[in-house]
Amino acid sequence: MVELADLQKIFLGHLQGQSTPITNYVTKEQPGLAIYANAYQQRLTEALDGDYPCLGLLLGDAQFNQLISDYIVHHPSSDPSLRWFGQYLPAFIREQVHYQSMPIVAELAEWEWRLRLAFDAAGSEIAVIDHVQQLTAEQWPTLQLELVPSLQIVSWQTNAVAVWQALEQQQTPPAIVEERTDWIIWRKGLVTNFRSVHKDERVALELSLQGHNFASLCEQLCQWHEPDVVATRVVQLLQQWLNDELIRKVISH
Amino acid sequence: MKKIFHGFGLGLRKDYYSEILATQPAVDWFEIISENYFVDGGKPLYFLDAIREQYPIAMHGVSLSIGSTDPLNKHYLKNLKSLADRINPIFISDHLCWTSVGGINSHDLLPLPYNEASIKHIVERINFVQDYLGRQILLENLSSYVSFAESDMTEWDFVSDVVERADCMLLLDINNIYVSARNHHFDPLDYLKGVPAQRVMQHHLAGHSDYGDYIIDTHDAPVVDPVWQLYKVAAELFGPVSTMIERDDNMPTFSELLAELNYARTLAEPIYSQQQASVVLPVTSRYQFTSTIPSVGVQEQHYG
Repeated sequence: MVELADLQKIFLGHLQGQSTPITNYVTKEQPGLAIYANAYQQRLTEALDGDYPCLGLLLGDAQFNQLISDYIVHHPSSDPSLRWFGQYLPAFIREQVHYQSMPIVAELAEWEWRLRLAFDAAGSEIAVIDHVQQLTAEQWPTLQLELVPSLQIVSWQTNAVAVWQALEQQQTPPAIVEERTDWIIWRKGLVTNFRSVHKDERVALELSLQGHNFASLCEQLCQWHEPDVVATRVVQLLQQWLNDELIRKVISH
Repeated sequence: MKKIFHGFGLGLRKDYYSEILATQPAVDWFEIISENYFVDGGKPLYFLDAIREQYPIAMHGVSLSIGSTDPLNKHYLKNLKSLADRINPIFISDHLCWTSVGGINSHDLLPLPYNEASIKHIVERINFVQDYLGRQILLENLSSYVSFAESDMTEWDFVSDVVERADCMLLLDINNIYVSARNHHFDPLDYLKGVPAQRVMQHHLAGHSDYGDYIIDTHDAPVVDPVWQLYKVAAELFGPVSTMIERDDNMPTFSELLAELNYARTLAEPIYSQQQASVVLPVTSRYQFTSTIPSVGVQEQHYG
């Protein structure tokens, strides 16, 4: 008599395409065993198809199917929700020798995954311009910003976003080029947003996430701006972030 | 406990969010896939909250893995309870199956051997889950495609023993009975007559893919006539039972689904009407059904 735990491990092994003695434990082998094995592959494949539609278009069916078949073998689902099954695909691509000379593949995959993250990230309260207008001159240097939980900051080495946009609109993508770009992704209300950011804005956002205050932001942004205009630039960024609904809370002391 | 009839519901799927809010269709309740709402925010929870303001919601899970030999997933249970606290569902259900082992999720509803060892294992775990949630759960019968040599009883005897000994309720999927009856060559009427009527709290109806020698439960087509006929028998055997139609693929227009649901009403309601003075079978339970949502079914009846 087989223990239930052993039977389940054998059954799962069968689903995963391993050679197992499962036929010893079922009374009618086919088509039932094949139905379960097909369903396992199909369900996981559909989840990845849904999460990475433009990656599939970039690679073409043959390469994409090979990639996800390998991923299903190496990263079986560890979460009860299919929502998270594809989370390791960008890292998996970076590990593959075949794709190491094509950084756009991992970058486009990560882009698609990060958009998914923003889609159902936590919402939060949103700071409004009134919160800033009420500040006194003495409060400005110590001003700190809490940014919305959906905000993500990414840097790419390629024009992955331009390629993604074209694929997403079912247009011919531009030629793939090396191009250092910085982007933010966040959700405004229920709508996922993204835009490119200059280096100084990227640093200002990163410093804000780390809890740096207004004075510290001004100091750091002197790398790009003269001291007499840097405060104006930071205020300009602040206004942009308020308009974009990127700021959760303005903390003044 | 009360066996409450909540009327006729539909699966809440994202394709229909906006239409439901805009038109407020005559559906008594909606059933969600619980795991789809184990997220922090965004559209899924926004629409769930908005629709919850208008309709009772049932929570139906696919990954509790009550039959697994892995330890119960506490993180999963915490998510389940948090969601239940958020929406106060009329039911919390999952499947009488296992979905994961060794920490690996198959994302499929996998069958168990029908024997005493399986029953003991599952009953203990149901007790834990019900204690954790502070309420009874419903477990659904599967469509299945293999039989195990270790089984020594019928599926309906197995299901009945589990729900009785665990003091949980039964979500009886009529289509699943039909699918398994065809695949395993048993009489579906034996199944319907073999389960405890007082435990049948909810029905699922769905379509399937018929390949002649076997059937696969695909939820991508309308309910077929033999399943409707079984549903009528179920209505006669079990009395008013909250009923919903599951559709997960090849999605029709919402009005088509609504028409299919209304067909279920036209079949069941005349039977329920004739049963107005029928005998009530009370269920004794240490659990209280905690829902305070008024039932809005056409034939609202309370038992117990």
